Order: sequence, then structure tokens, then C-alpha cells
Amino acid sequence: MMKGNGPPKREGKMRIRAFPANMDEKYVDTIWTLLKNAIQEIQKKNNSGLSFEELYRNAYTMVLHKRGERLYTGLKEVVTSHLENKVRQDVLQALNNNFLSTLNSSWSDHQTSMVMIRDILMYMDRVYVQQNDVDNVYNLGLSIFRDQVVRYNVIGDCLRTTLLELVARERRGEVVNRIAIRNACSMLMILGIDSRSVYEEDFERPFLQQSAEFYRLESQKFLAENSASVYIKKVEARIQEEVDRAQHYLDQSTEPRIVDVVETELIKKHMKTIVEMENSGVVHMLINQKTDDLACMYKLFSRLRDGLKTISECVSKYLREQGKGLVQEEEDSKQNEAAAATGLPCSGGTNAISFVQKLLDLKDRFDHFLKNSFGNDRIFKQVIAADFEYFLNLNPKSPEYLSLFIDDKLKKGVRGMSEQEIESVLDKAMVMFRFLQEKDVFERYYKQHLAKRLLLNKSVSDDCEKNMISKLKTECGCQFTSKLEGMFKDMTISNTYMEEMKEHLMNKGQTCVSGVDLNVRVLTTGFWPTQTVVPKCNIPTAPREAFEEFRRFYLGKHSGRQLTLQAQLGSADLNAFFYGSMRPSGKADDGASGGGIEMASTSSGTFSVVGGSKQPRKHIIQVSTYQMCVLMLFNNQDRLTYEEIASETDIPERDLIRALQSLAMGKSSQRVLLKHPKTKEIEPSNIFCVNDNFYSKLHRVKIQTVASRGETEPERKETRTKVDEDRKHEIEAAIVRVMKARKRMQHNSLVAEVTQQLKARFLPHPMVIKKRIEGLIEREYLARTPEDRKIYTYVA
Amino acid sequence: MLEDLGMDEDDEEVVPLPNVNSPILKKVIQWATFHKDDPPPPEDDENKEKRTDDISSWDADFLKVDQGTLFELILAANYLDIKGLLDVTCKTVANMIKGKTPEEIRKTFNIKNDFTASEEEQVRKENEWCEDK
Repeated sequence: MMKGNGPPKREGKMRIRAFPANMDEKYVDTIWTLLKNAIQEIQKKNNSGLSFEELYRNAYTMVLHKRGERLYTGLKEVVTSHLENKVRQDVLQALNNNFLSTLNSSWSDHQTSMVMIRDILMYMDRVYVQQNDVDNVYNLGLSIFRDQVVRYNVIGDCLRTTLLELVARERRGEVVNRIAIRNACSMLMILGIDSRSVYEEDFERPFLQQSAEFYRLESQKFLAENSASVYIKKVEARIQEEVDRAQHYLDQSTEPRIVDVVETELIKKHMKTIVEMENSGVVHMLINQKTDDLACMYKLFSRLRDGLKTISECVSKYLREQGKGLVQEEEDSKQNEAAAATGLPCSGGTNAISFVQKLLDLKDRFDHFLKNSFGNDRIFKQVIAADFEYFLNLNPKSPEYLSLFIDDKLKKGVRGMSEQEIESVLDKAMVMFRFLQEKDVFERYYKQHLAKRLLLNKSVSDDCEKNMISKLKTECGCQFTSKLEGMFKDMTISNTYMEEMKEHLMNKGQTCVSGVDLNVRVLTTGFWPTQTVVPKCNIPTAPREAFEEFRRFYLGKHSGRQLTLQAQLGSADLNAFFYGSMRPSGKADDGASGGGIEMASTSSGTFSVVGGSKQPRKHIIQVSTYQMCVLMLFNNQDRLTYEEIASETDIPERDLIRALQSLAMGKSSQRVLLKHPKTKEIEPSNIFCVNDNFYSKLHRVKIQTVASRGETEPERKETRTKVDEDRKHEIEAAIVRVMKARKRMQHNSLVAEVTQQLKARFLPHPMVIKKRIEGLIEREYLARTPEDRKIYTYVA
Repeated sequence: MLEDLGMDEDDEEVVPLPNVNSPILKKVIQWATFHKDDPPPPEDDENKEKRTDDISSWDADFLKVDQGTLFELILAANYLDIKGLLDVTCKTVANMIKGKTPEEIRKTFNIKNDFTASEEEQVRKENEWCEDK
């Protein structure tokens, strides 16, 4: 085993330098003194006269001869004494003036000299330090500097206070020496050696504390003095300032910490206050369209985890209020309306339209905010959608109103709008549709309204209608729209029939039957909304014969079918002669009959003459089928009581009253009949006669039918009942579907599954589902398992 | 080492090297010139096992010198902080030791046996577990 004495003497070309067998102490002392002096010269900045190689070699020799420890300890002493006796004193003297700059320059001097010392002692670093696991030369110098100078009690305190004072002054707006602070901070970071603990303890922690205090006070002051939007801008400015500060002269790693402090003190603690500030908070901004302010607030609050939630809650609350207000004011006023509307062109419809329009406007408003202030943020999108869904479904009439709105648009509302505008209105209506829970109610109303539009030829554009249907199809699937499409097809087919009928007649040498120009529309029962009971009606002869001719023709083409007249749906054009003078009387002509079949007349019948002998005035009046039946009676009689009319025509009371009201109690340019006595109500004993003095500037007079746009209460109840009936069937169908697939299911899971399947159309109540299950069990579609009453099985 | 000196690219500065004599320095320069394009050695992993059989053939040839030169080269490499040269020279010496009995090693390096008999016995006992039986 080698004892590290070096190679022995050997004969050879070269003489190997002999190692001193044991280095004697005197030699070691000499070397050490040399090194010590050199180190001290370096510390005094007198290094120019030194020979690097010589010093390096001496250090090398010492370590090689196992004197490393002596060298290391000696180094430690020299450095410590220098720092204690010279450097520290210098700094202490400068405590009250030029403190930072003195400290900084001492620090950089120290760094420079330590580098040089490390260089000459590099061999020791490489060998002795590694083997003995002590600090290397440079780090040793750092820790001595840290302990003896920077953390020496008075100096440490002074350093901290000075730095904090400078920051505070800058925050107040003064200009300070940023470079001095930056040097101090980087010194502290370096003194941590491999960690940032020195920087943290000596500076960062007190800095963050002071900052928190500062911002706490500032927040109170700001909040008291400023509106929300100004406050927010100030906060943003402060955050930017702190970011700047951290980047320019603190250590970069402080940036997230100080920003966090600012956010906490200025925002997090006051979130609710800012949002709810009177006269300047979120609500105020929403009301006054302060889009930019909201955008600033959004940007600021999105820094915090719960910030956006706070804003969105406030927005939601406001939106719900607004929505509820709209929806409920509708309800209240509608009650009053219904009370007042007993007849005559009722503007009940405009309520529905304005209701929906207001909702659409509200949605537009909030969409604007969503896009321009909230950057289409998902949270806000969801909140707005949920709110709309909530209050839209508060009013049970929403589906009806929505359908009325679309109805209005398709009837005349789109006149004058470009294609794009039409598209966008319909799209917005679809957005509302999606929020509806009771989509099946909407379907029912839409069908009714569509039927009326088609039959009365009221829709402005077929394209728009088809467009709307395809939108509904995309939204709800074919099942929803198949019937609607059927209705359109019926109309086209009916037109074809009429063509063929005309040909058929021409072949027979006739232009029309019984003098009646007949126009028939054949409606397939399943597609169109039907009344449960088809009301009867006695149709005058001429129209009736015409209809029979058509019936023969049709049944000739399709055997096995049944045609039924729908008296409540038709209309007629009558030629009327009035023989009065200024107060014209009138006579009505034969006209068309109605009832699922529309007929227009061209022939003229006559009527008895009463009163004055001026030229008879001729008008064409457009009336409903019922009205035609009533008027044609006056061809044979001058005056009739209500009861007589009722018994002759067999028209149901409600419809008859409506018909008479529009004929006798409307505007003077509409009053074809006169009523005695002129009371507001129609009594059975009232007498009606033709108004010979009827006058209108138009040749072609359309008698307005009293058609209330919205349904009356009893009608609504009827619709509701029908909807509920349908729902029962749908629920049962869903239950059977699910059970057939699963064979066996627990009660709660079944209810959940069924609800899930149906929720696209409506929201079924669990109790209702339970009842349907029991019904199905009775009819032996399902069974309860004997072991557990809560589990059902499918019975094939 | 040059960079520790903090020297510029000033070629005229004279660097004294009393620790290394000129023939050895020549050899060192020869080695360094040959290896001047070597990639920098990876960070030395303290725990990685060092091999002694990966001396390149050029280096092996280069180090076919007498022991005195070899040892001087080691000292010079150590002093001048030339890791590659230090490694290869030490490996060479290690190879000279490997596989030899203590007596053989003494012979190779001309080492005087200064153990007493009892000391030697004690050491042998302690290291019995190393020996192949």
C-alpha cells in the first residue's frame, strides 16, 4: 500500500525530484505566511504585484502534503478578520449616510477579491474541499460576509428599513434610486448560496408584510372615495406598478408573490363590495350599457379563482329579476285584457308579440355584454342560458306566445325585411325555443297557428314557412315536423284537385255548380288540429249542391275515404246589393259555403228592396262560413230574431254570437246588419235586420272576424287537457320502450331513464310516471318482482 | 488553468512553471495537441464505476515510458488540472497494479517492505475475504 510518499528514487535518464519525506513545520509556516500576505494584499486591492502561478503552486504544495486543513482554517481566519475589522466598520460608519452605496461597494469588492482568492486556492477547492465536504472557498466567503456584515444586527436592521423605506416612497410617487435597491436584492439572493432564504428572510417577507398593510389601507381609502369603475382602473394600475417593480429591481421570483398580495388586499377581500356598489357596481353598469367598464372588471376579476363567480352571480340575479318582471307583468296585464276582451278585433295578440319581442331584446342586450365585456366566457354563457330557461318557463303561456310571435312574423312581420334579417329573427326565436321546457305545448300551438295561416292564406312567404320547419326539424327531429310537413303537402294536393275538378267540369260543359265557384281544400285528419266534436251547420242549398258535386268527384278518385265539412274553417265571398241611400240597407247574396271547403261565388242572387230608391250599391263582402249562413237567411226574410237564426242555422252558440257581433256591432263601415235594441250583449230576443244604409268606400269589404289571438281561458284549459292526455301516452310509450330493452329495472332508475328520454319535449313529474307505471302493471305490460316491490320486469 | 489565471489572448506574457520540467512539459503538450479536438468530458458522476480497460491505443503507445516519466506525468497533469491526461495515466498505473500479489507489486515499484511480520499477518487476515480461494 502506497503511503503517498511519492515515487522512490530510481536510476534512469531523469532524476526524479525527491519529495521531502516529511514536510517540516517550518516549511509549512513559510508557505502559509506567503499565502496569508497574498490574500491580505488581494483584499486591499493590491494584487497587481502578485504572481498567480507562485501562489497557486504554494497552495498546491500545502494540500499535496496533507496540510489542507491548516490552509482552510487559515483562510477562514483571514477573511473573517478582514470583514470584521475593516469592512464592517466601514459600513457601520456609513449607517446614516450613503448606507446602501457603501454596503454595495463593499459587497462588490468582496466578491472580486474572493474570486481571486478562490483562483489561487483552486487546488484546495478541487481536492481538500471535495474530500472533506466543506464549503468551497467562494461560498465560504459568502457565508462569512453574510454573517459578519449583512446580518450583523445593526446593519441588518438598517438594510431592511432602508429598502422598505425606499419602496414606500416610490409607492407614494417619489423617484428613488432603483439601482441601489437592485444591487442589494441581488446581493441577498447570492448570499443564500443555493437557496433564496436570505433574500426571503431579510427582505421579501417584511416587504410583503409592509405591502399588505399598505394596500389594506389604500383599499379602504379607494373604496370610500371612488366608483367601481375608477377603483378597478386604479387597481390595475397598482398591479402593473408592482409587476414593473419586481421586474426591474426586485428579484423576479417576487413578482407572483407581490401580485398575489395586491390581488388579495385590493380585490379578493372586497369582491362583493365592488360588484354590489351602489350606483356604480355591476347592476349600474348593466343598466347604463357600460360595456367597457364591465370588460375591465371582467379582466381584473378573472385573476382570482372565484372572481368571475361573484360577477356572474350578480349578473344572474339582475337578469332573473328583469326576466321575471317581464314575464309576470305579462301575466297580470293579460288577466285584465281577458276580462275586457269580449269580442271585436282584440289586440290580445299584440301582448304575445311584445312579450316575446321584449324577451328577445333582453337576450340581445345580454348577448352584447357576453361578447363585448365577458369575452364569450363559458361561465357567463351558461349563467345567462340558465336564467332564461328559468324565467321563460315561469309563465305557462310562454310556448303559446312564442308560437304567436312566429305566427305574426310569418304572416306579415317579415315584409320589408331582408333575407338576412328574417333569418336572424327566426334564429333568435329558435334560441328561445330551446329554453322552453314544454316543447310539446309549443308544437300543439304551432300546428294550430300554421293551420290557420295555411287555410286563410295568411302566410307571407312559403319559403319562410319551410325555413322555419327545417329549423324545428334540426332542433327536434322528424317526429316533430312530420305532421307539419303533411299539412303543406295537403295544400299542394288540394290545389291539384281543384285543377282536375275544373277540367272535369269543363268536360261536362259547366263552369261551376249551382252558380258557385268552389274552392276545396282537403285536409288529412291526422295532420291537422281537429276539434273533438265537429259542429253542425245548415248550409244553404247552392253551396251544398256544389259541395256534393265535389264529393262525388273526389270519392270517384279515392274510394274508402270519408269527407267531412268543417264549418268553422271556411270563408265566403258574397255579392251584396244595398238599396238604401245615405243610410244604406243591404242585401246579401248567395255565396259560397264553407266547412273545410272554401268556395267563392260569382253569381248574384237578389234581395228584397227596402227603403229609398237610389241606385243599388254593390259590394263584395268577405265573410266566414257561419256568417254566410246567417246572411243568406235574410234573402228570404227581412227581420229575424236571434233564436230564429240559431234554430235555422244550427250554429253553436258561441260561434253564432261571434259571427253576429262582427256583423252587427262593429264599426259603421262593417255593420252589415242592424240589431234591435242596441244593447251591448246579444240576447235571444234581439231582432236583426239588414242595414240598407250600409256604406263603405271600399268595393270589397272584409268583415273582421272576432278572432282573439290568444286563447280565452276555457280554450286554454282545453288545450292543456289535450296536452296532458298526449303526455300520458308518451310517458307510457317511453316506459315500455325502456323496460323492453332492460327487461328488469329498479323503480328509481326507471323514473330517471324515462325522464331523461322525454326531457327534450317536456319535464315529466315523477308522480305522474309512477301512476303510469301502475296503469301499465294493471294492463299487464309490466310486473312487480315478488322479492322486491321496487323492481319491475317486462312482460312480453 | 489558463482561464483561472484570467489571462487575455496576450501571447507575450511569460508564465513561469517551476513545478514542471521541460521534457515532461513537452510530453504534456504532445498529448494535449493530439487531444485538442476532444469533446469536453461529461460531468463526473462520483458514483459511476471507473474502468481501466478503455485506454485508446494512441494513449497506450504514448505512455510506454519508464515509471519515472509516468509518475512525473501524473504530477504534472494534477498540477495543471488536465483531467484527461490525469485519468489515462492513473489508469495505466492501476493496470500495472491489478492482478499482482503484494510481493509482486513491491517488486514492480521497488517499494520497501516496512511491515513487521505481525503487522503483515494482521493485514492479511483483515483482507482474507478478498482473496479467491
